[in-house]
Amino acid sequence: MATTLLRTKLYRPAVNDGLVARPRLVSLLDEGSKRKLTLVSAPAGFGKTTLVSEWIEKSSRPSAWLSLDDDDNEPLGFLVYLVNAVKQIDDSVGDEVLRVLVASKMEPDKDLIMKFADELSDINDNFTLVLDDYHVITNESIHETIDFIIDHMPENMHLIMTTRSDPPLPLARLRVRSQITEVRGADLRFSETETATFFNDFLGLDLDKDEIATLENRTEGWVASLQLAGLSLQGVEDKKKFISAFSGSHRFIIDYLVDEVLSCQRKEVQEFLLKTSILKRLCAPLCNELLTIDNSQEILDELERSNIFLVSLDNERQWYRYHHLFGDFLSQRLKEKEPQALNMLHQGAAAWLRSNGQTMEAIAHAIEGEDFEMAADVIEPIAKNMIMENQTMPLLNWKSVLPEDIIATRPWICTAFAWSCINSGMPQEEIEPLLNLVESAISEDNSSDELDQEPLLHATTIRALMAIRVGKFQDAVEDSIKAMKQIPDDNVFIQAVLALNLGVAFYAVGELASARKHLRDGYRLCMESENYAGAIGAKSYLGYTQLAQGLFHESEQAFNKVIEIGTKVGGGQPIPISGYGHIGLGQIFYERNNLSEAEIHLKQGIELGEKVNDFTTGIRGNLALARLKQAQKDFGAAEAALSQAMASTFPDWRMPEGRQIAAWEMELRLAQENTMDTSAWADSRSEQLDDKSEHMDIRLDTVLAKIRLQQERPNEALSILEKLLRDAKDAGRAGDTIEILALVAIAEIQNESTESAMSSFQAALDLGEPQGYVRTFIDHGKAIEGLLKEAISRQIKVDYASKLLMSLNADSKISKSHRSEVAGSQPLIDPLTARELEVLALVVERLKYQEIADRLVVSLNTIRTHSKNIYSKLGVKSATQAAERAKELGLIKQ
Amino acid sequence: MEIYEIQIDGHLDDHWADWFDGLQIERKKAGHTILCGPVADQSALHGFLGKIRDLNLTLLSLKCVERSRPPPDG
Repeated sequence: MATTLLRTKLYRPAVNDGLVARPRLVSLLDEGSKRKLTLVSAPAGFGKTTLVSEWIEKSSRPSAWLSLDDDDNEPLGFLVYLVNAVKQIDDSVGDEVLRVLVASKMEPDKDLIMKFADELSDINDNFTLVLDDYHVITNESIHETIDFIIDHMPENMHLIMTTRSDPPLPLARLRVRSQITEVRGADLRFSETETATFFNDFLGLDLDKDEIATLENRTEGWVASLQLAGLSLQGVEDKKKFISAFSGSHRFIIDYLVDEVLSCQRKEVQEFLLKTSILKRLCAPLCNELLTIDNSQEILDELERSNIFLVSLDNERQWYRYHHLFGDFLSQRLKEKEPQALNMLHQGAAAWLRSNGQTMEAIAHAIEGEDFEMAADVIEPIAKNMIMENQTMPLLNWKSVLPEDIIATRPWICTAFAWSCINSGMPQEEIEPLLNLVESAISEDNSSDELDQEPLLHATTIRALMAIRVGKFQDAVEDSIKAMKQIPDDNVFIQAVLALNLGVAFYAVGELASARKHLRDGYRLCMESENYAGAIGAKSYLGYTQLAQGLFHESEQAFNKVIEIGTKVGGGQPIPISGYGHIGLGQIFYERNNLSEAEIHLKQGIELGEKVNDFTTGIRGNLALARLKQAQKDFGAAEAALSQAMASTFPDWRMPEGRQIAAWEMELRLAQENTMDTSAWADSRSEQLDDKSEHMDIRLDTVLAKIRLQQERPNEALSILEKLLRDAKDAGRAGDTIEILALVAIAEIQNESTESAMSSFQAALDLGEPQGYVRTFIDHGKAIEGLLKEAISRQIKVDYASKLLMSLNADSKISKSHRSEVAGSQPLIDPLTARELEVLALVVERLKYQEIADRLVVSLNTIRTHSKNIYSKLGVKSATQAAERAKELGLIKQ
Repeated sequence: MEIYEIQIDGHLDDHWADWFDGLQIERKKAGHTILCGPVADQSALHGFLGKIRDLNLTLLSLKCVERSRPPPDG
């Protein structure tokens, strides 16, 4: 996002009085202002901007203006400009929205735009907002924003858009609802009467009716060409001859006329027009520099007086631009006539802009003039700031044009490019070479003692970030610690990123105590540097860590804090990543067996995250929801939540939650008593199992042990559980420890060694009581019932055990009623699971197994297993029979 | 790389070849111009169409005269 606004973009171009009055169009716009949107859609040079500006000048309504250009294709920056435009009418509007945009540094979400729309209705007057040159916008999410604003536009607002091509908005719908007025090319064309008024009354050329008709005919009423023709005619003696030559030529009108107009200018003015055509915006001192003259202001005044397509961009007659179409033609002429001068001119412009503090424009011209050395010189000192401000887009653009040997000697540029790559999710291969450049640039340059070493720190930090992304958590820890040792005290930005990084890496490898320490630091540092997105991330992972440690009270506080910050930053509406907090709370409520409250929080968290396609909420939230649905025996919903979790991952995703999806899928199969799937999976998992299994696989191994128990193979289960128990205890993971102890007890019961079973179970109860664990026990269902009863009879934790037993009984009642409901909808003794129904539908469609596997993104084997189950449940032997039976039973929609 | 032929109304001067990135400019007696040449990909083609729009040239027809790859069959 650009930190400095170009105020000229918010300035409505002034209009020349008395050109040609167009009452027909004025009344069209008057009528239009009663509807939501006026769309002025016509090609270049049809006087769109002039018309709208003129109408606004005469109307009594306050107005806001925004001139768009190619650089506005970034949702965040676009909205910043939009809010600032409206602030021209009422400065009290949008402060909160701007603060949120700057603080969250993320794409604006619908709630924020809704809030902005609400604030618009607080403006006292009826007002008009103009988006000029909307055709330059190609960004899909900006189109969505505008569509949303049109939908939710308050009564007092009217939007005008000028564009060269129709915007991708639901225009048909707006037409049907009479919410749109359109002014199109045919409306804007000069009629013969208007042409006559222009040539005779305004320019005083005294042309006869035939001549007017000829001009009108040849130009087809195209305003820009009529104006050019007017300018040319003012300079010629024999008007008849000019008009007949002009109408007899096939040459593209503007080619013809620009040549004519140029040829009637003085040599000095011609050169001025051509050479300054390289500028997006021009002012006298800049033009003086470019042409080594000193009378640019006079020439500009002269051009403005004679209406030569110069548009004033402010009140002070300081900045101008050429009319876009005319400017394009001039620069094309320049390229043709003096190609060798082009680079020099751009370089001259870059030098002037640079010394006058117009940094971004200076860089653009330096690049255009192929002076990459200068471009790099201007970028290097601002690169660090751009990193802090998260200005990814311009950095990526420069990266694509600056040659490697130029950036190789400028470590800050390489660093900034590397940040922009990692922030936009580019692969490691793009980033690694940049980091190598940083390192070699600094190690080779021994010329100065005061050499800035800081880029090295950034390089190490970025390496650590990449390591986390690809799941190399140990590397991430090492890189982070290495960088940590070198950070100067005042570099809060890097300190915060590293602490957060370390915290997440330690969390991922299950070293919870270390994770907690660093996440606390990260939270504090992020708050200090007002990086609220970072603070929310740190606090959330802190909460997840405490949750894993069994510190419910602390983690509950952390999650509430997350929601509090997220809501404050969002000005009353939680920003999307506050969803982390809701999901954490949902998990706590789940453990305490308050399923309805848990479901509300989980769904709220998932919904918030979905607004920005956040993968953490997508995976973590949906896994927790799947577990909850499974507990309610609503297997279809559990299946759906698992699919959602899966859909939220991306190929590189290696955080523990992502790896757990397979584990929770097997938990679900276990609950569904789908032994075919679980045994097949368990056997293949056993083969891979070795001593080095990482922390992130504990869920997989726990479910493996559960499957072995379900198969009544307790010794195999115990050998897995022993190792898991050791790890969980060492790492201080209370919840895991309780679950594993309970499983050990179940295994020992199967081994008929009741005494050791009870001692394990007592340990589990001892750990679980203070924090009030419920679901970790009763999720084992029937298998835990005997243990609880035995504990009560042995006077072990009687109160707690009785409470758990009550919850277990209540749970099985609910599940029975729910189960019969689900089963009731299918006339089968053993109803098909949601997944089996999905597969069945495809079998009926006569897809081959491989095709079904591809469609559902699972292996061929899984589909074979599903089909076997389906066939046996339906009591059939072939796909044809299955299809018939499915139709009979009404399992497939016909 | 595909070869496209773009027909526009009026006669366009040769110096526009540069603006249209090297397309051949051929002026026809009937009063129209044909821009013809290789186009890198679809977005390059849309770039040309955008330029035609920006100059308010009248687009008469657009034709792909040669495809390097056979169209994928369904």
